Amino acid sequence: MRFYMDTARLGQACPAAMQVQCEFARLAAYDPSLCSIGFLRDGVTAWDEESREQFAALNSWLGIEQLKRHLADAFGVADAERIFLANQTSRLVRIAARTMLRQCRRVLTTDLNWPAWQSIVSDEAMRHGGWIVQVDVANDVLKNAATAADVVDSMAAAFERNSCDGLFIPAVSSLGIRLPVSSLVQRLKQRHELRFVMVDGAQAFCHVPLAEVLESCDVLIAGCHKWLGGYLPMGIAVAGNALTAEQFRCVAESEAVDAFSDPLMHLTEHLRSNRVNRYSETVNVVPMLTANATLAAQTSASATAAGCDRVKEPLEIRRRNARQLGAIMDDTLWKPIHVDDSVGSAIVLAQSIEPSLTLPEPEYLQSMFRQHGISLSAYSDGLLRFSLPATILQQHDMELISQAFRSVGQRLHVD
Amino acid sequence: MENPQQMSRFESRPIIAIVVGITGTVLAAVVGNTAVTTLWLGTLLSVVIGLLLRRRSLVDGSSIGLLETPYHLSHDAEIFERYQQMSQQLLRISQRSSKVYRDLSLQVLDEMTRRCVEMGQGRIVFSETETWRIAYERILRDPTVFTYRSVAVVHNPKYWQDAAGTGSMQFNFQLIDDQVITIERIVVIADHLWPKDQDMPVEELRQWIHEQSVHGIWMKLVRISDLKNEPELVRDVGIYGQLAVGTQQLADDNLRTQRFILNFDLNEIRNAERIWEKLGVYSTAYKDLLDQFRL
Repeated sequence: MRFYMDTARLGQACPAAMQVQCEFARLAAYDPSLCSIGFLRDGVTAWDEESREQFAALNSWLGIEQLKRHLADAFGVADAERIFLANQTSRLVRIAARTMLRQCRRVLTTDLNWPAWQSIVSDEAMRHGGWIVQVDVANDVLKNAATAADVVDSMAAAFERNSCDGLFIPAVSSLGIRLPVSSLVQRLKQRHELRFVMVDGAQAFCHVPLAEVLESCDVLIAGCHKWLGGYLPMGIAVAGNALTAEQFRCVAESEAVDAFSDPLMHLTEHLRSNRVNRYSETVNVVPMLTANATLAAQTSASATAAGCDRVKEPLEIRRRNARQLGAIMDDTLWKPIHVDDSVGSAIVLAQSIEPSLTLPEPEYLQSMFRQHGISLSAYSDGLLRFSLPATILQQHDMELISQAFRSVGQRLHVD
Repeated sequence: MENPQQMSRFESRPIIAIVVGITGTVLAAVVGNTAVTTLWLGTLLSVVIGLLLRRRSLVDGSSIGLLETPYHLSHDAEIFERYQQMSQQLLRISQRSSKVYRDLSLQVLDEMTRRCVEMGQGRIVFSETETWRIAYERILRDPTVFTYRSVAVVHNPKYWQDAAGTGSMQFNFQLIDDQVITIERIVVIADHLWPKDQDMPVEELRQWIHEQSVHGIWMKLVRISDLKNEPELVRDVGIYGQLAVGTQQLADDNLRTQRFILNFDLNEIRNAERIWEKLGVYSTAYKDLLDQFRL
């Protein structure tokens, strides 16, 4: 794909991740027993020299603890003990929600929350006799150009009005709105008893810096298949402090959550405490290897480019690309939705401007752009979502994208 | 006994009320004005509600005559059965002539009466026993109780860490695991267990607090000296939803229960809630202390 701009749905795989997956498939065909508990715990150091040479692409795998350290570095937290892994992100969301609702009675959320996760949190609230309060933010940001300060004001007012004591918000929403988590939490803590902050970091991890967010939240949930480029989905939960990590572990280990237990989480937590259950479910461990390879490749790339921040500088490039993209839409059928810089991200939305035009199904619209080498997300009301790449788009790239917009527009008029 | 004339006057009252009601309604319908009809129906409804409430207050109070008592109690089969049994035994007691027997019986009856008065006021008292924990568990399992707010006044680092206390704590954890209730606890700590110059209470107590926090109990702490101007706040209290308030009085060792009073009176619950709110102002969340002073 010439211009891949659908990272918010599924990120482009990092070459190192692809290589590791192919190598692991080769290992599975040659000698699956090499994928032992020792290999998972200690990495390739558990193998003899010959095996290490034979499957050299797996040499970056140095065990689960090393993967957690890589992740801790990527999130900007010091303690790898605060990282949890799972095959399914939704299970981590369930555990985090339960940890939150054991302590909170009213949780403030927004209309920007991802519906599937919101539904899990609502379900947990119902089980605990708690309440979910939803504040509308999207309209203010997308139509009234609300700033981060406006968002903080309206959310703080809703928090106070509804006597809330918990917060569940995305750091970056699926529509690319970056919520001011740290300043909101700081504001709420000054005036209220804020007991628990749960953050959806799915669109934020490896897209925007998260160290500040993690300092102000209790749990952040993210995945590997979007902005990281780890290709295979794997859920990650990061506890904002040591106490929450213990609480999270306590909920995960309680019998009540057994119905939601996750094979990868069981394995990693059992290996951590040296009590492996050999009769448990077979676990898909490849996502750990691909994520690890991606993180290792990124670490070595940022080490090579001295002083280069692995998220901040790519974000700057993405934002610059976003501004350029907005500028070239002037003569097209779409108009960029301008949001204030303080809540902007590397995701750009564009809305069709001709209401009379009958727009095709999103899949068809996507395929029309695809024919011009552009991959993006399309929605039912003519809304397009672009996740900008971290490589600088040159003048001729912009001309090609602009040409694609015009061609698709013309075809829609003709059709 | 009421005389026949009075009875006939009382009996005629409902008929008069019905006649007045029907006449008024017919007149309102004849006038045909919606506002008049609404006003009339509203007045009738208010009168009916007022009379029902008056009747209820009469039943609640002590104005029920001695002879009406069995009639009112007969609506409650369980209480009525006990009333019958007690009345029969009182008759048997009064039939015995021995003075010594009579004096001893009266003493016991006085004690029983005192306890009945307590129960009538909505209080159940447990003295010198840990069996109150059975009632405590029953209350926390009650389907109407969703929150349990507790104030623990700690003078001894082993507070609630004996077998009975540990059992109750495990029960708390089980309730949280089962998603039955949410628990909040404010620990009021004697200054010798949390000196002013120390970030955290003594380790044994901190561990106890930490364990509860890990299991999902929202913990807040305050030093007793911080409450010196509001001594009434220093009380071992448990607020069980809107159902009851439990007050624990411990022996001098701050470990054994001397007295545990369960109070089901709504005013007492409101008072305890006021104490809880005031304590909330003085206390600091354990989680915030951990953030502030890393261990």
